[in-house]
Amino acid sequence: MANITLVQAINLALVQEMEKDDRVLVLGEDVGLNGGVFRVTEGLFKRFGKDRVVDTPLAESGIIGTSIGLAMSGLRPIPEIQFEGFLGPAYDQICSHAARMRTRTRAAFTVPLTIRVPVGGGIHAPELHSDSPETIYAHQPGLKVVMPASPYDAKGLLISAIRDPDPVIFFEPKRIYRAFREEVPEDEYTVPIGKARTVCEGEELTIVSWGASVVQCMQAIERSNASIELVDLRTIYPLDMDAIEASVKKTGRCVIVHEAPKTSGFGSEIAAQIMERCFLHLEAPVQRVAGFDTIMPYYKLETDYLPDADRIEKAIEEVRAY
Amino acid sequence: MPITKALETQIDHVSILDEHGAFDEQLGAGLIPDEDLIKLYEHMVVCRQLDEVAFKLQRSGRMGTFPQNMGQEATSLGAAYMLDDTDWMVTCYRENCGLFWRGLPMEKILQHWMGDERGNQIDREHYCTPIAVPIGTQMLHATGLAWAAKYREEKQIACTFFGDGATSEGDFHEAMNFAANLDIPVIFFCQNNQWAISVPTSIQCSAPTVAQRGIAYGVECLQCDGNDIFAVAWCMKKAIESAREHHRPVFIEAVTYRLGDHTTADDARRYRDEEEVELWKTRDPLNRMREYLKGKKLWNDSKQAELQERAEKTVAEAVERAETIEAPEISDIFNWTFAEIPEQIAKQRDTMRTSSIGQDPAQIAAEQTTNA
Amino acid sequence: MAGVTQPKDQSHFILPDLGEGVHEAELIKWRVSVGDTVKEHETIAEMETDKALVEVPSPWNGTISELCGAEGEIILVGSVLVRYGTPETAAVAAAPAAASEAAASDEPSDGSEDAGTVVGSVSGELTVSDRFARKAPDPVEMTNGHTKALATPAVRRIAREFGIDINLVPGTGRGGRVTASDVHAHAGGTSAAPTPSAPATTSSAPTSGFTPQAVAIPADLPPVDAGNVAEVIPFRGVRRKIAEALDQSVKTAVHFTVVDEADVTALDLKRREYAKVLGAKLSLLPFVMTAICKALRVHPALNAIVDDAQSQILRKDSVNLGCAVDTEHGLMVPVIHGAETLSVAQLGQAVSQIARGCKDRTIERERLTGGTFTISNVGSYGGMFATPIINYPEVAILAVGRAKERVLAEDGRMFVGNVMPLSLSCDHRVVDGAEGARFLNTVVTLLQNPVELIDS
Repeated sequence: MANITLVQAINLALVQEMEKDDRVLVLGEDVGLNGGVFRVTEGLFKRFGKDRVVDTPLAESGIIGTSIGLAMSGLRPIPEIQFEGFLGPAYDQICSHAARMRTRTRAAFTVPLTIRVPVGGGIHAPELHSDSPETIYAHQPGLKVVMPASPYDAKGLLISAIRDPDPVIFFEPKRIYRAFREEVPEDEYTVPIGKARTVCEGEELTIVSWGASVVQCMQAIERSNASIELVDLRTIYPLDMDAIEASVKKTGRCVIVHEAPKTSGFGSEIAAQIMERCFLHLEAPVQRVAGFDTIMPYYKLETDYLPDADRIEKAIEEVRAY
Repeated sequence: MPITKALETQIDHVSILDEHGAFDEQLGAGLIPDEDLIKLYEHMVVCRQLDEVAFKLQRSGRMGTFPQNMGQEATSLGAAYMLDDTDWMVTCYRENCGLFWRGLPMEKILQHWMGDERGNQIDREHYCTPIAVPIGTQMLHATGLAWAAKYREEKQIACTFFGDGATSEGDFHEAMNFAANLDIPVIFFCQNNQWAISVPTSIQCSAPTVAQRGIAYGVECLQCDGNDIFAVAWCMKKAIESAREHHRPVFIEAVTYRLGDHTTADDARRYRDEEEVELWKTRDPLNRMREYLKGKKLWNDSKQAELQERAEKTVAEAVERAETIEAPEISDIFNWTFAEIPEQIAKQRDTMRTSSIGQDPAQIAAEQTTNA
Repeated sequence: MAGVTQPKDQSHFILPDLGEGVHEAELIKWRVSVGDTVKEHETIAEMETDKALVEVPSPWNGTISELCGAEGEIILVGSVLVRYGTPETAAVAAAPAAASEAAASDEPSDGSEDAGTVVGSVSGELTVSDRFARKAPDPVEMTNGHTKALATPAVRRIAREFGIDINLVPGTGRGGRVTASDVHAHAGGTSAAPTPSAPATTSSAPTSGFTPQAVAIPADLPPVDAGNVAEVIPFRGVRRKIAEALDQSVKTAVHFTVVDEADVTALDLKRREYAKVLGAKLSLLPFVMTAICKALRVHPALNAIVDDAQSQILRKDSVNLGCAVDTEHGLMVPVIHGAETLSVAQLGQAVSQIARGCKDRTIERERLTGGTFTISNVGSYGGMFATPIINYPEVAILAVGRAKERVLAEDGRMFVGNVMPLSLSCDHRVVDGAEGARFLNTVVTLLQNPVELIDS
């Protein structure tokens, strides 16, 4: 076991999978000698050489498009898009090809690739470095969307993603890249894609969250005297609705927390499915604590934009008191 | 049939004032009047001073990420100097020197990097578009702006700035293709500073020049020494004439060097040799200009000392202005998503500190019954 | 990691995020010593983050009084790096802690004051509390005791109104669901009339704005046939309040009703013109309201309330026109205050505003009281004449029926007109029959003469 950060856990997963399987390669902007702008790929260039850790031209569509080709031939590319704000140019390749190739060719071709993308706000960064676009990709059939909230899950989920036969977008919450450490086994292990984690159990209310917001939820729970169950989705799609259902049926109350804008955020989908599955158990309307339907502000205002423990706490009280 | 040549071409490289002080009178004489030279040099020094202060501000937590302009002052400045004040400057984020020449207040730039959108609220009269963070995207906007001017039968043109890395993005190629085929008066000004963060130009372009990328689109191409403001001005003069008079786009590759890190969040020592940096320091556009002015007896050490003092004061005052601007209110962000605030967003604004933003308060307050 | 706010008094320098999302940095080398005077931007330390080796400058001029950390140490973003002190502030620091509010004397070991300056929720190094610690490699199977009731939100609401914990109600519905009847049965035993323990209050749900009022039930009620019941509806909430109000009105005021008709053919044309000009839908109701306001000026006896406690009649000055609105929650009577000062268009707006307010229950409490006369638009549901119940303590109410084309006669000639039926109820204790009839006649005359109605 090693007490490491989320960045180090991802790095460890990459090293181990690359050691084990020479079909795995890493490509992207600055991932080589520089070790990535967040140092996630630190040391890989030295260890595995320039043929497996590739600094590409500055072209997101090119990075994903060529990765699709690499994957179609049977390799396991792990492209990095430097920030979620730069996914835009690659959107066409991701949604028009990576997601559809299996269906389009009836599995004559598949695209086993893992797109690593730092995501979310809270790090004082310039424009287009703080967004939360997970719902956009969760809504594209054919993609799996993963977002770990802890070092342990990051390593296990990334190994699962790399081994997955289909395209996975692996969102890495920047705000918790280095925010805390966790004991992570040095041996390889997997955390299954599509399975949520119950972070703590409770009887009165369920909080569903993912990514960096999970930490905000923990803080709100720490302050509250209520018995609260926290479900960390870990995977956005496929959604582990069974875990949410079991929890909400037990507690009868639910708060969903995410950074993305509230309207059409992934919380909407979860709330709808709770209505479908838990209607008779609900003792209060499902509440969402989320970003606003505005452009993510520059960093001077980002802490006001992002859901924090205060806002979560208010929602907890409101839903409990309903 | 014998094989014939379908195309034969060459790329001209323009250099007027080299790093050793040699000056090409034939090309350079009369290009920039002496009094303008002094003003241009002063702008470079102020811009360099801002770089140094901004770096310290970031390190002491007074500012967010900042990209220094060091080493590239002559490129955007030379271009801005040659353009008309009503020509569009469609920049990336390393063109401070040219923007200041246009009169953009320094505190606006500081405010932007201090994490406040209001730094982008640029008066239209500057004809400068806001800092473009997503790489390469702004070249298409420049093409559109110039297209609009042509459509309106105005003499206005656009000049767009970008780096060598941006020429790998699809948008670059689409912009060049549009401009060439639709006869749009836009100048594509590539600041080839050798590095896209840690990735060298060789990974963006393995042809001998970046400039020749324009040939494929039928665009006239030029390469110049980007640290030589005379060479930049010479190329711009030619390009402006072509764009303004003939609606033909021109691609200029200005060869320069990013002396600093990519941004304050970067550490260039990790991926490039100090030797290379030292070499390029000898080609620094500021030194070159200062020595040239001294040679022409237009400059001396006391003027330099006076200028340095003035630059420090100018920057310190701008920093003070930027730091004393009242912090934005969070409610402000709701006012700018649309021209008219949709009710849904207004409601989020009014309930942003409640348990559930955007929800009708009547819905939340469980059982408020009115007595009929 | 979000920004760090430096202390205004410049007493110490807090290590900021040196890159993007940096949480800590290793102190490589001090470049200053205690007692050194530093200038703004002068380097004080060399530090290494995961991303870069950086020189950290001083944000202001000052004299270093303390270096908070040793070379080789990891310093967390948000913690104090150096302290500054001029001779004066150094003296303050030496004084007892209570001496200075400026807190230049913060004990480093305390830390809580300094930590407060960190903006953002994830502080430098977050330790995850034990309760969130990973217990097993993967989620433990969750127990689901199902001790809680299954019920639709609608039924839960009923239970809440009864002050009943729904989890205690045995469910007889599909899959063990608690139904509305289950709640009623639980609340009232075998009797259909619920008799919750009085005063009934919500036992479990705190801060609920609505607490059902215990209703005084007369002792000598006739026996109730409890058989053949399709649905039991609790006589509570808004419904009960309506009942009480009407009961009091009928028992107190002496009602009489007088009816008449108005030919609103011309008025209806006027209405269309108005609607066109306003570009909005407009009913005849605001015109009738205007007619009432004008008629009340002529017959002020009807713009009054009865103060039975003091045995006096209070004639009112301005017309606060109550407007009976049927909502899904039951009858509500919002009031348009100062209706006589409003134009037809303004009245039209006011009507739709209050209707909306009643429907979504956002209407303010003040707008539900203070009426001096009430209008009830029974016609919108298809009635002609009515015997409206006065909104006690007011003394009169006008019910407006639906205007319909009818054959009329005048001077021995038949013609087709658009006829609106009107029914006026008055409290005979205050208003005589003749007075009521005269008032109604004035209303009819105004409605038949739109020019006079609108222009005068």
